Amino acid sequence: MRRLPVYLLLDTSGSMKGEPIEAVNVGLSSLLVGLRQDPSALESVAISLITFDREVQQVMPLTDLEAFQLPQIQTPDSGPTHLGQALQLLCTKVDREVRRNTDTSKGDWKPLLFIMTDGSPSDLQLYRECIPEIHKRNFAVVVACAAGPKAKTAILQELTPHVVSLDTMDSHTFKQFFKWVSDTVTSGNRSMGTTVSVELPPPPDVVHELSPV
Amino acid sequence: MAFSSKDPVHLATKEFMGFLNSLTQRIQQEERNILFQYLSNIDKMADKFNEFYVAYVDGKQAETPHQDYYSFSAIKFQFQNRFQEINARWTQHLQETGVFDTPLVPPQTDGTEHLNPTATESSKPMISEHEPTNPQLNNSIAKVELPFEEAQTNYNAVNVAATVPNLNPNPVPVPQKPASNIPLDKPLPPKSDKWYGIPNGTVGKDYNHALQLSDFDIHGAVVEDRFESKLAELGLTYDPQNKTLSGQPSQPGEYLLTFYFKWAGGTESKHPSALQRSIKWLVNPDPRSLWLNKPSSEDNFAYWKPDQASAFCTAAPRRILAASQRGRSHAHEGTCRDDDFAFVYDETIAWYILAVADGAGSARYSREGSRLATRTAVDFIHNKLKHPDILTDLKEAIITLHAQLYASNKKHDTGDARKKVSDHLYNLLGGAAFNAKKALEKACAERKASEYDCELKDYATTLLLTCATQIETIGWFIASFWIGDGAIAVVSDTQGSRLMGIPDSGEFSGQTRFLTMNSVIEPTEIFKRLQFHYTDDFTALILMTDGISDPKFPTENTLREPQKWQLFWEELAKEVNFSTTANREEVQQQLLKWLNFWSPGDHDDRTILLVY
Repeated sequence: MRRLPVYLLLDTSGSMKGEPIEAVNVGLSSLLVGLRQDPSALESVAISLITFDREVQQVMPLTDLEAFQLPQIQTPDSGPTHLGQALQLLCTKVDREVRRNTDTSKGDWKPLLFIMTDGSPSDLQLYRECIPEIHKRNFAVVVACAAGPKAKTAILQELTPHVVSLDTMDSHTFKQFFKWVSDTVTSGNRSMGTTVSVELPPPPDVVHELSPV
Repeated sequence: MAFSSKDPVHLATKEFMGFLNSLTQRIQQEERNILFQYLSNIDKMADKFNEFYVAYVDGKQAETPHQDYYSFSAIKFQFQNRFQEINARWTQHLQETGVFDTPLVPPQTDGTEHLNPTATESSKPMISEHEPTNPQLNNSIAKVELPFEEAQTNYNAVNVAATVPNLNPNPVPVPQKPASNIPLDKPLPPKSDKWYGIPNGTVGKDYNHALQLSDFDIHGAVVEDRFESKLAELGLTYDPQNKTLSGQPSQPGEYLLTFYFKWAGGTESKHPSALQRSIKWLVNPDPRSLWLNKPSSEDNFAYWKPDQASAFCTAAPRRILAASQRGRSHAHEGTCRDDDFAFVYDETIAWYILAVADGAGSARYSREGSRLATRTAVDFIHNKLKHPDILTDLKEAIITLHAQLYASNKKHDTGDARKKVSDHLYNLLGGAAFNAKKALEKACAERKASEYDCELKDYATTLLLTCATQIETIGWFIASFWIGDGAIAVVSDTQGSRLMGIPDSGEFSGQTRFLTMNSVIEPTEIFKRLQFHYTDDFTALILMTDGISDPKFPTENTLREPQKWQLFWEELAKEVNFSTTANREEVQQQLLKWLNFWSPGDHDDRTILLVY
């Protein structure tokens, strides 16, 4: 059966420690609750979680929503933001996990990618090198979320035209952000097979959409 | 912002502070059971707080959130973190000292207890007498740091009589003498990943899982192992012989189930709560139960069309039956069916002219695209074939080629004859597609003229065309033209089934071509999409949109397997009465009903056109 793969890249660098990462956990939980109420998401969505700080880790491989069990996202005490490395890992995972159309099996829908970071990449050069690699993987949509005041939206805009920003990093804001992610996934799921790219639903108040550069 | 002391947000914060106060005392008293109890109430407090906050903000239309809200959230999260740390240390301590066989686990709860947070209540449950306080552990407990502006002291858990943090303007004295009764049956374990998990279930789907007790921190042989009675209510049974959970989950939700056991060999644990585990189990709802069916409203949609359609023609030598059904995706949203079909049999020319189309889901007027494309294409072919010279020329070309192809001596070079037929089909079917596209362009222009904003791609649709005729001397000639996904096939149990074209697809699911794309209506492309076929006879000639071909023919290879088409026809014949005595209304209803078949992940509009 055709799955809709959804990749979430989450910043777990030092600045996320404490309330921000807890708010992310709450948000992820509500994302799953939201998706589980949508019948077509329940059938087709598969999610993978990748965290990045000094280390990059796929804390959850691409797993069907039905079977998905949310791990608690942790942060180390301090750590840089290796977003470039995360993109690199993402590419290898996508190549391995997302199924292509073959003569003998139906492939997955084009995957979705959501990136959340509260700073800028410590490995900027690697980040830039990975940008074309990401484009090659043909994501239906790439959304980069710049959370909090220190996030650098301009750098994210090099990767994707869909950059949103969050003013704060509390649980209310993250809940809204992840609800919007859920809406994007479910509407993208519905339009799969019929569009070239996914149209993003209007974001909630706390999520500010940046105009493309 | 200034808030009065009666401010509900402020009151809730105060309440929580008092609550926090007693909680910090409990930490140093190392009573984890009580901690769990309290933490469950933190969540309730948090919910209450959220209610206050939302009502307050909504009521006051505050521009910035109340400062207490952030502090509250922060405190709560800090506390849950601290608790986890303490839990881990406590577990380690117990294992090292061997005081208990196994780590303590949170006692079960029915979640109904509400604990009064003020610490003056003397009937507060305390540590049991046989649990020693461990000064070492006291020292190792990390400080509870409060991000709160008003926090006066950092709490340092050194001994029971330590300074109580001034979180509450009216600090209460710490109770000295612990009581002996501990309610172990009430608290709900905290939300942490230290709970033991089992695979998720889904309502209505068979569940079978063999437990690995070591995963639950149960090392050693156990007896009298069982789950609490709630398990049966949820649809599962536990078999202690093979440690297996099985059954069919009956209700969706997230559940905590207590698993009880005793050590084989009769070693008693000093703490009864050591002989149970909390198992977290998530049950997904049955997706089938979540689908809504909202009729589309004529008022809401330009170019509205009914959610389903069907047609039946018995005037032709072979019967023509068609049905088109809105898919579950659209039904869930209350949007229109985007598929369509059209056909005609004209006995004066003796040709069957058939078309199906699937409007692109993202194209807002694709329901009109499919409707207009099918009708325009069929009308175009019909009108062309009404020209006697075209009709005769085509028939001759078909006969000539047939003669050459099936000649007893294969000396003929069929090139010329083939070209003649191809050219006819190019003009007829290619022309039909071209005109269908022009009709869409016209509709778009008209809409623009009425001050609406639109583009040609708003009418994007696939288009599958077939025309067929039976010529006495040679049998059937069938020609097709195919843009997009879906399928056209000739099913025959005697002659072998055959796919009448090449489906459009790309590397990822769902990439296909549409009539509105520039590249498609070009000579080389058109020729690529034209196919024709001679056959003595057939069982059925079938056109379908991908709403049917996707679920019934899972891969492209399957589309090409004659056997699979045979099976498809047989499956359909079980549900639809194809005999000559069939009642016309009934047979259409049967086909529409069949179109509602359930296939997870396949919720597109479904259209099928059959000549049989």
